Amino acid sequence: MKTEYSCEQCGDRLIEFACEELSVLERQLVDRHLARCTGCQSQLTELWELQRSASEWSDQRVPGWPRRELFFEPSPWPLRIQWVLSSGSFAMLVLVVLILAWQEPLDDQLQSITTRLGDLESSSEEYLAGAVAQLRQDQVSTNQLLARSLMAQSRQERREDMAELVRLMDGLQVQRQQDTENNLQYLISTQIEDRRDIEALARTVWYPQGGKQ
Amino acid sequence: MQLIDRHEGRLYNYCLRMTGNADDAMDVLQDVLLSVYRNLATFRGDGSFGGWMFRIASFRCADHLRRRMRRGQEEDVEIADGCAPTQQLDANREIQQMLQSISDEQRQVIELKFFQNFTFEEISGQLGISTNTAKSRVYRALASMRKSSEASVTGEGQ
Ligand SMILES: [Zn+2]
Repeated sequence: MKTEYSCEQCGDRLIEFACEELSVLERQLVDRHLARCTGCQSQLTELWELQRSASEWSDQRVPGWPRRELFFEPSPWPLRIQWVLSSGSFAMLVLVVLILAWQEPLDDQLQSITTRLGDLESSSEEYLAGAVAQLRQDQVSTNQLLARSLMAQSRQERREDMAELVRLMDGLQVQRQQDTENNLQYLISTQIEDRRDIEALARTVWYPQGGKQ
Repeated sequence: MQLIDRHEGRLYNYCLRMTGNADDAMDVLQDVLLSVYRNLATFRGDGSFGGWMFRIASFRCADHLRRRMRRGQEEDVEIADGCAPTQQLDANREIQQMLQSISDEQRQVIELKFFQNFTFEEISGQLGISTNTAKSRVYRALASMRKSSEASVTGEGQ
C-alpha cells in the first residue's frame, strides 16, 4: 500500500487516532505520516496531554440537595386523602362565609368577601379543568413512552432505563397532583387574604360594638 | 431513583467542568434534571439515554453560560467541599482553570470528546454541528490553551 496522508488528511483523523477510534488501516496511514511530520507530531502530543489532564479529574460527590422532596417523595398523606382534606378545608371556608353571610347586617366587607369567593370558585374551576387536562395528557405521554419502549430493541440497560422512566413519569404525576393542590390552597389563601378578613368580619358581625372600639 | 443516581454524579461533574464553579454547577444540574423530566416523553428510545441526556445538558449549559456572560459575572474557579483529598482537588482546579481559558463552544466539544468519550458522530448529533466543525473546535481549543499556558509562564517569569 503506497498511499500517504497529507497533513490535512492526518489532521482529520488525529483526534480519533489519539482516542484509538481508527480502523487498523487508517491508524497505519496516520502512523506513517507522523513518522515524517513534526507538525502533526506536536499536535498529537498536545492531544495526549489533554487526554492525560482529563484522566486526572477525580469525580466529586454531588452536594446534597432536596431533589426527592422537590420532585419525587410522595407526601405522607395518600393522594385521595389529600384531596379530601383540601376540598374539605375549601368547603369549610365556604360554609363559614355562608354562615356569616346569613347574619345581619350585610356590610361592605361581607359583600367584598363573597364577591371574592365567587371569583375564587370560578378561577379554581378553571384551574382544576386545566390541571385535569394536563394529567390526562401526561397519561397519554406515559402510554406512548411505553409503546415506544416495547418497540425499541431490548437491550438490558435500555429496559432498566425504561422501567425507571415509567416510574419517573408516575412520580411526575404525583408531583403534579400535589402542585395542583398546593396551587389551589395558594389561591384560597391569597384571595381570602390570610383569613384575617374573616376574623375581622366575625368581629363586626358577632360583636359589632366590640369591633368598633 | 436509580436512573438519577446513575447519572447525577456524571452530570454534576460535567457541570463543574463546564461552569468552573460549584454554585453554578448545582444550578445547571437542577436545571438539566428538570429539563430531562419535562422532556422524558420526547425520548424516542432509539439512541442511548446518556446521549439524549447530554444533548439536553449541552443545551441547558450553553444557555446558562450565555446568561452568565450577559450578566458579565466574573468566573470564579473554586471548589466547594466534596470528599476528594486535596491533591485530587488541585488537579480538578487545574483542569477547571484550563477549561475556563477556552470559549464555551470549544469547552463543550472538549468535554464531550475527552471527558465523556462520545464519538464525533454523537457529538455532531448532540450539538447540531458537523463533525468537521467539532474537530476544528478541538484544534482551536488546543491553540488557545497553548497560548494561555505560554502567557501564564511568561507572566510568572516576570
Ligand atoms: Zn503533518
